[in-house]
Amino acid sequence: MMRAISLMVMVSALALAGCSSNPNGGDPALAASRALFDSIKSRAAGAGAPAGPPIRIDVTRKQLNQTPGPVMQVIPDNTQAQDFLRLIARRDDSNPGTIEVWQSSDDAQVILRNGVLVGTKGLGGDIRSAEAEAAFAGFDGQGGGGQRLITIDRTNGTAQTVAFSCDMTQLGRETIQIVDQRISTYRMREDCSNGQASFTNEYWVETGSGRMRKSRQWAGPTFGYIDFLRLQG
Amino acid sequence: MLAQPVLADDTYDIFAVPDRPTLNFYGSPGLIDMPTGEVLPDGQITVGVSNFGGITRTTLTFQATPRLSASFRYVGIQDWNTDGFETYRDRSFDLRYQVRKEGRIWPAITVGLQDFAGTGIYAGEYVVATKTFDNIGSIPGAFKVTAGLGWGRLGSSGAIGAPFGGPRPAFDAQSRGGSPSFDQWFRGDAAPFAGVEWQINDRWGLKAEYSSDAYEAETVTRSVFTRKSRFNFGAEYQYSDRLRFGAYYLYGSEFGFNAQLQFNPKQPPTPTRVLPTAPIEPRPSRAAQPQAYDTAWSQNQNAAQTMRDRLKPVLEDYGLTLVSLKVSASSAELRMRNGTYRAMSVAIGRAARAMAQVLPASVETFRIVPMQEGLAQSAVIMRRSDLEALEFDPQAADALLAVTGFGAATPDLPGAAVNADLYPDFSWSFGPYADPSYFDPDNPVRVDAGLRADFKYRPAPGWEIGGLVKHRLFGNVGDSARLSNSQLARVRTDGILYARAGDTSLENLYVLRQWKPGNDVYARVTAGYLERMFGGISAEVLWKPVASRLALGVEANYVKQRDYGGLGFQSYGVATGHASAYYDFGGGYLGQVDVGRYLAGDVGGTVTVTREFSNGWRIGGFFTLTNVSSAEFGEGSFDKGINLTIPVSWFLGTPGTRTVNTTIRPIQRDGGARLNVPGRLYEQVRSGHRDAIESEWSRVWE
Repeated sequence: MMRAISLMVMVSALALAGCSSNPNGGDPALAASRALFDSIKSRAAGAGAPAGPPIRIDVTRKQLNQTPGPVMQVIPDNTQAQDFLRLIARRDDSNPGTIEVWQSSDDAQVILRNGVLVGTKGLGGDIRSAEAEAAFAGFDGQGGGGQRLITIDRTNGTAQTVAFSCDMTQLGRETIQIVDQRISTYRMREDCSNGQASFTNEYWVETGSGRMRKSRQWAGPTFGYIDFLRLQG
Repeated sequence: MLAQPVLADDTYDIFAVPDRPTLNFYGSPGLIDMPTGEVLPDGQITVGVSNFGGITRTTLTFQATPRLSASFRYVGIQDWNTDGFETYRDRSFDLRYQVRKEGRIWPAITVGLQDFAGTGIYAGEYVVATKTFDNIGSIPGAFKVTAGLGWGRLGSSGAIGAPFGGPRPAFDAQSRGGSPSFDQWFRGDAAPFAGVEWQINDRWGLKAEYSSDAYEAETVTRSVFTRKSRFNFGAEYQYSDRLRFGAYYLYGSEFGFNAQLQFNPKQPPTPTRVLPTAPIEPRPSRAAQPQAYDTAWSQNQNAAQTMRDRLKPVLEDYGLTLVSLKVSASSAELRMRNGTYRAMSVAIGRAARAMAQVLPASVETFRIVPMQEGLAQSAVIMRRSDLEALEFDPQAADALLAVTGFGAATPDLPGAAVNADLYPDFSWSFGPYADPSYFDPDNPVRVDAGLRADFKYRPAPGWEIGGLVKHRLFGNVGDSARLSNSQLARVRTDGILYARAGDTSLENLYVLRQWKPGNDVYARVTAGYLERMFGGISAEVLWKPVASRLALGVEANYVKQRDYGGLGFQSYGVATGHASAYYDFGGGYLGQVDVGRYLAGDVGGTVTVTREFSNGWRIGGFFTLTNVSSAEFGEGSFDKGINLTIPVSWFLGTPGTRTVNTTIRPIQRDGGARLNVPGRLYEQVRSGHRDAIESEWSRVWE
């Protein structure tokens, strides 16, 4: 009996410690089952005690002045966790609008064209690519709307291109507060739908420059909505 | 040819919430003991475990196409007490085909064959219709009303005559089973059955049914339980998205329960996340900065070496390994190894971005060649200006595919700068193992577990010396009393003797060489202890053009049977080999036919049909018919089974190339048995060919 127990202990210790010269080596079934147990464990842990609201920082002018380069604050609906993105690239291509690639603290990317979300990378269930022109055509405070093709990761290795028809509703002028600045914006709402699928984005675009300062945008069915606030640059 | 729109994986809509029918005691969409006309969502896999009156059924069901599903069932019936069994255990297969989808007026209609190829205890056929009624007056939820007509077992109670004639042969527990029983289907008496399911809300459901199953074998000829009524009732609770439980009162005498697990390979528990790369830095325009496009660098003797040394760390950052690089003023060919991403398109896209990041501006054409253990799989050809122009295109992946070329890769790349770090290479792993053995009548699941250690030594490209040793710490596979009674050479049925021979076993130890004799031709020779039961020499040649759906192969082996323990050989030796044809039907459906001589010297063919999902899940079925009669073959009549491949990345949500593979056979006999050889070519080659790369092309910018 003792021998059997000590063998069991030894084997379960090895099950946790199975090793290999190559991170992709070892018994694959073991890696898969370990992942399952981890996910169950984390679900069980999460179910009991509801976590308090994540910590938020109210950014000050002083902090911003000490930060070089453009800064975008994001709060995704799914985690409610605040993050600050860095601008890592700006590109003009043959399509209208300017591309900006923003990177999060965990190295995921959000791609905006004139402020309109046209892609995400590293979130899982990403938006692979998207049309944006129908949205930013309304950034002068008038008109906008039309068809937007959006290609979404199905999370099964393939992607689905959906032709959303979008209506832009101009909600008039609104003054918003960003840190210590008051900014005059056009506020607008974009309602997009295709059959049963629909989403609603909201944009606050600075009057004059036409630059998007604040928005709430849909990042696909897996990730959901993200609130953007362009703090600087 | 199979029709594309019906099969294509692309019909799956991420926004659609497919109706997910509940399961019956047979693990099929159904009520309690009776089936319904509903169909599972395409690709769905379900496991049902049900128990009542001492009868336990465990069923694995796969919705192989949008309309066709197949089930494999293992059943244990207590208190059987006849035919030499106290508890009767049996395996059975079902097929269901949905003839008509539910419409506004029409109900869903399904035709089913239950236990169509076993010993026939559950043999029955049915035609069943189900109609859904939502929002009747102020009653919440939905009602699903079912009515059907059953034959065989499902026509045994309350029969209304035999519409297609009779008589129907009786069930025989002593028969060998295994062959499709065409002569029985829809013959003999037919009886109606009916029922209703009330789905009160997302969690709770109630079921009631009128059963047409008399349970004659269990209640009349034997007394497994007592049947007092034709009516069954139950309540079900959806515990989680994938799991549902039910409690029931059946046949006026028995309580029962049913646990139903449903999941879909298309919906991973965690979506895979790949850490993104930096965006491509576009080159300055040639008109504005012609000096950037200077080609003097390519005149340098060491140009390829210099570029190799710059590219190597970038590729490593991106999860790839540089094998060799050849450059000229205007083009470059990169040969790389992908050990990180299951989707080759991710590796190709990242390799292209690494090249755009490193190579001088004058290099416009990129040829990217994925390598698999010394075999150049294919050449993916891209223009750098397309990569620059399309990275943020509204349809970035499709637009890039339209301008990407796929061609054959030459066996070698003369004049390339080679990554000298790759060979010789030694790798190993050490850990626990568990080898299950199923369906022993005395003990349905036996298992051996212990420690395993393996190594691979690769002295040069295409060469591999590998070995695997297992040491059993505990297990009961060898305890089975069911020793072989085979009339054929005992090439597989002596498994118990191998298990009993000792705790430490050399599973394999071999030398392998694989190479490309031509652009579209691949070859392999393996020699040594090839598997636990056989050792010898194996040679294979495969023809597979990069863009072809068809591949042809020939394999020839001479092997001797190994001693039960130790390193020696027994006297049995055999020349075995096959000619194989592989065809990719598109939409994830693969077919394979092998014709040749099997291990026991029997001659015949194997047909394999596999559904492969874009994310790497594979489920297939196979059967082998040889010149061995079903009497010589023994129980099961011929060899058949199910192959299952599950990518580990599906569970982890992180990229990876590892898979879990398993083959389930209702019974392992000696007829139609194939040698297991390390390093068969087709799967190695196919992963880097056009169809495999294109199937996940949408990930190319990941």
